[in-house]
Amino acid sequence: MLQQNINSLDVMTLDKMGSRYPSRLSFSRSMLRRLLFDNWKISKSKFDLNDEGFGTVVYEIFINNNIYSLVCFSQHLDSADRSDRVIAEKWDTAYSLISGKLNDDELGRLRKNVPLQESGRNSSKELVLSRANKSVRLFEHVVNCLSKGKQPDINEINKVGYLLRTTAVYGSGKFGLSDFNNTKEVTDFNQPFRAEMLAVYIIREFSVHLVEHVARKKNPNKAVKLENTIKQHLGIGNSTGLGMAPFIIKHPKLINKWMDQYTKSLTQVINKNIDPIKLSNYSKLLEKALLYLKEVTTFDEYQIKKNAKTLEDLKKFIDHIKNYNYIHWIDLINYATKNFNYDTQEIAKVQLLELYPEDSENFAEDMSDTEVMEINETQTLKELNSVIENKYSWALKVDFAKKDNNFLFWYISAAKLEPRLGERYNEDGSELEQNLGVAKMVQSLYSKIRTENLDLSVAEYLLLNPEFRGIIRRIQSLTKYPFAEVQDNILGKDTIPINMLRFKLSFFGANRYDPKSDRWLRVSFFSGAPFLSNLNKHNVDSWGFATMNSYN
Amino acid sequence: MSYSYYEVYTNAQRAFSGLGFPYGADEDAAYIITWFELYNLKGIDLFCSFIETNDEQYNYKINLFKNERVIDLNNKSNLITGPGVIDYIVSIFNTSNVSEFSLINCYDPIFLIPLLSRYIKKDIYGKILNDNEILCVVNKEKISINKKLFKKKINNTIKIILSNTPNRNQKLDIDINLIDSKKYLSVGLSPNQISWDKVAALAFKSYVPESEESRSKGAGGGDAND
Repeated sequence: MLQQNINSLDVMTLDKMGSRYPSRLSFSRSMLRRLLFDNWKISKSKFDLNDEGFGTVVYEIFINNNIYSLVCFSQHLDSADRSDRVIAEKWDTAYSLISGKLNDDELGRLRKNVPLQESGRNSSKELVLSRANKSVRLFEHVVNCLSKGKQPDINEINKVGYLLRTTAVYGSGKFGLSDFNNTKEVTDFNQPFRAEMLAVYIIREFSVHLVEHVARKKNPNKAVKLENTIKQHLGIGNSTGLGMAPFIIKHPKLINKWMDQYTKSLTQVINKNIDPIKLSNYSKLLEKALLYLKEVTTFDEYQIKKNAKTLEDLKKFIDHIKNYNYIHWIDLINYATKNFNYDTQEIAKVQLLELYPEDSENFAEDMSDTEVMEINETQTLKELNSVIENKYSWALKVDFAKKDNNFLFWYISAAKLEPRLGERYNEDGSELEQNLGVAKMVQSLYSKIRTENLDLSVAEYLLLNPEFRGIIRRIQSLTKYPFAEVQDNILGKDTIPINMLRFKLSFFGANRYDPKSDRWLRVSFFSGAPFLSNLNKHNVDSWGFATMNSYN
Repeated sequence: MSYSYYEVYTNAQRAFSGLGFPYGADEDAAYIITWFELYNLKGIDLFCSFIETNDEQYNYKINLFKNERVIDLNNKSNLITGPGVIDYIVSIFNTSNVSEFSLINCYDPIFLIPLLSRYIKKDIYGKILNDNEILCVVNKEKISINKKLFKKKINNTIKIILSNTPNRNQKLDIDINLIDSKKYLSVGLSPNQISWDKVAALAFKSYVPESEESRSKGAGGGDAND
């Protein structure tokens, strides 16, 4: 049974986490469904841009009886100041999603603070803070085309994929923003990253409004708007670095929840019988994924090889499906698991979920979890020891006497208060290491308690050994959470940090995965998604693995 | 200026880490401070008063007498000893019929309240007393506090009584209605700015200064503008 295959050992290693793809459960997908089916209304309440596209735009979002506002500030930026790095201090555009309708006083307050990003202050009314830079080449290209009355070539669009590229999308209490517990309670955004996804989706709308405005001002008589078949291929870019990786270690119950919901959805589907119509649709979905992979551009050698292998395997899988008759989906999935690379296995699963939308619908609306971790005071050291041996055997296998297994350390940088990765034997600062090396901490605890009186309770032990409070609480709290831990040593020299980023980004729904090093990458959000003007029940969920011919 | 719960907790946790609190102990201490700040009881000020008396040594050894009902805290702050002590008395309470515990040399018992409040959801309700009077009563939805509990005293002795049934309401100086946490969260937390800056300076001790090399290697991110 697949259930036996989809256990934590199978899926929570770094290489498999780094082979994930967006699915119906991804936050961008579920947000767009709610936007459509719950009849959210979005309109521009202010559009005050000069001829060059600098100024202020406000979008209002009406959900149930509530109003939210997304404010966009666009300014001139010298080329020298334009940087994707989080240490940048100026951006082409800056955004805030706030609860309520904006008045002039609030707009003034936001204008003073939002463009400053991390250096500004936000109130608990603000839900999301973001900024984006232009893709200078594509933005100028599209302006030029539109101003001459022409549509840009979709091949040029495909090379970059976006007009604006965000470099951070903050929420959940950062820089004074509303805490998620508050957002969940008092707004309509009751799922993780739902408010953030709405903000990103509207920023995408803004990117098109901005480019069309500049083109029109450049040549009012000839300028045209982007055609749907071209503009739908535009996503919103995102540049992401190491900041995302510690999130996965620090929110184990949440990560478990995401994987658990995904696994439950899949488990429901794989036990169904295959019918010919579904099988035919499945083949088409796999063909679409194949074409998507052919069209995606990256210059990263590792990713190019990985994509090439996936293309090869996916072709074989598609051919295999045509030639064999299976009764249950599980047999097909098992075949992919046994014969193809991890990317192909994942594509096989996420595309299968597309065939049975009803099986993932409710799971996608239940992606949040309490993150409280607690000490089990009465557990004995003997019992704790047993839990470690059963649940953390992967951690006990690492030989930390070898320098390479203890090579990296995670820290918070004094310059930007952001997570960074250092080399323990080549750089200063490892004494201030963040507590993210779970395997190392587990081993340290394990070797210590084996020499203790194993009949002691954890509470007794911690009175004299509080240095183990954190790791004991983690181990005890996660006993029943099979997907909570990254089951690899993330301090090892051969760690590829962007594997963790890809895992998280897949649940966000990011695509066009384009690594720039082992520590940062670019992706797109909402590439291929319908814009507000043509969003409907037929296309709201059909934009996964979008390709250049998806819109004809 | 208003701050989010996340910011207060994170700043406090990093500050405790900067003070040398180990992993886990830093989280518990930050939870205690943020709990007070959330309920407008000046958690960040309390943190600063702890900093003034703390010798920057994380010293935690706690003596257990043969009598498990008496625990000597050696006049160390409950920001350090409290989490372990409350775990311990709860474990004794859960495994035996013992419900009364004496904490001797308990310097700052106020910090025990957030720790006791965590057990409400497990139907364990605490009461803190000294010889003469009730200092704190924990109930299902309300915690009542005697102002005297905020006083720090060397060689202080208190008694904690645990029960599986909610305590009777007591009229004390301060009432905390736990349901108000949502209201406070919705407007943000407002710590004393001078104290906040002190805590932020301590948190800074847990950060690593960057060299040009580590900036380029460690951050990721690039400058390509395509």
